[in-house]
Amino acid sequence: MAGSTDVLELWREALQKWERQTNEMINNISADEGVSQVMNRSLAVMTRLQAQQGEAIERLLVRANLPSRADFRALGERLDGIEAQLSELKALLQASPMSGETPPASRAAAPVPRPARTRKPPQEGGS
Amino acid sequence: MSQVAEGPDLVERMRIEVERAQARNIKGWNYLISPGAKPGVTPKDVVLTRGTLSLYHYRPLVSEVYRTPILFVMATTNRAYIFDLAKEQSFVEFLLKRGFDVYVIDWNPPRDDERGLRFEDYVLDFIPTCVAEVGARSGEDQVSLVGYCMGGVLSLMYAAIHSERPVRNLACFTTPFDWSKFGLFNRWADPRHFDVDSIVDSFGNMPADLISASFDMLRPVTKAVGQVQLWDNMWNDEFVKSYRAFDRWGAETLPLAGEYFRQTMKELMFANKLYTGDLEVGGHRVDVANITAPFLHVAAEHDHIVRTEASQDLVKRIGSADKQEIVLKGGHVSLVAGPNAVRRLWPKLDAWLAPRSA
Repeated sequence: MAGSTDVLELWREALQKWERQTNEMINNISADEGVSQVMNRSLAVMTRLQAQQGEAIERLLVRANLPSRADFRALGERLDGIEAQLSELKALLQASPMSGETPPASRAAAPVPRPARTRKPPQEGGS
Repeated sequence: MSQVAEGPDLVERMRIEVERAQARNIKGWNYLISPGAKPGVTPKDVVLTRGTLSLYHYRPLVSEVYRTPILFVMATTNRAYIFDLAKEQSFVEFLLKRGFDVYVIDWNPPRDDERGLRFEDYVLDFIPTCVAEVGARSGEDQVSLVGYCMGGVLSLMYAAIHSERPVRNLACFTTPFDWSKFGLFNRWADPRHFDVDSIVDSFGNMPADLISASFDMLRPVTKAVGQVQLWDNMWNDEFVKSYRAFDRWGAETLPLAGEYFRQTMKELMFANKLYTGDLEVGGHRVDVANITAPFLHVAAEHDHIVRTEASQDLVKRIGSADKQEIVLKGGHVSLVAGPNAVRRLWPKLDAWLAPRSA
């Protein structure tokens, strides 16, 4: 119980109240069109800077004969392709002795237990 | 309360607080040096992975399941393990135990070469591919589609375009429909000042940091207060476990495919085309009136991201005869996970889906 002597409980309530009021106050400020305009201008500047920085780093990496992010990305994509092919092979190996059927190319999982699909909803008032 | 009665209470309170202070110190160290519990613990098979798309099938926990499988469509901004946070805190585990066959569409961070993905890819390729895969594995030609937030928007688009077939039931949680009612987001993303083209053209994909910052700005001091509350509750293992799980999930915001983000801003946020019925995806007009499957929308009373005003007209405009909206106590995330969800949303969805899934 939050009695008058329970200082910690009072502190917790005050914290929640402060949180609510401060959020509201900042929201009211940021809802102003001028503030929104300034926020978006800052975002635009940050966007331009980031793009320029990215280009500069890319040039630097080329000059230093080091792999760039794009190179790693290309490697990652090739690895993804290899992983997908491995998954397909795994699925084929798992499926072939069971049914002799070819599973869909995308199937990559172990055989799934197949429970009966006959469940009925509980009666009204039941569990 | 009299001073006589207050005396022993005060002593007892002091004793408890001293014990908690000691526990805070010990457990505080543990918190700092140990990793949190691994999320996503319910056994599952990864059925499909293709770039940003992953489809999981959770292994059944009962011997008899309902005929129609559930296919969750996660919001594109976050990971789907919010549905499977931890043991006893897992929406998926709850549904499995209640006899549902559960599949989940999760999103990986889109790669740079996926910057061109559009609504068309999600609605006319990813979701149909997953529905087909679920059909192939389950032997059923219909699914119950359950979309969360932007996953709900994609599910609406899919169901409106594919109204003749595979969706047997459609449930959406906190799904924005009238995008002019977003409140602060509408102010911040005013097309006169918010240059979405410049952002997408510069970044390629929309960076996760910017998305997460925009969510944080809706409640600017809540994160800091959360840290204080964590310290205050450091003695409470359950609180700390839950805090860590949510904190980790919140920190794992995903980037968005650039063109998808551009489309979301221009067609939904600026032009509100989902609401006006003017949205076209791959040449198909998206009119939610075409949706005739049983429909449930669940909104959160204290949702600070998708306010109830942004979704309240949805159920009125859906074409289904069997349709319902429920507004539950809770926020955008606590609606689907955590103690609030265990008591409120989970049993509601079970009760709504069970008679429609046999």
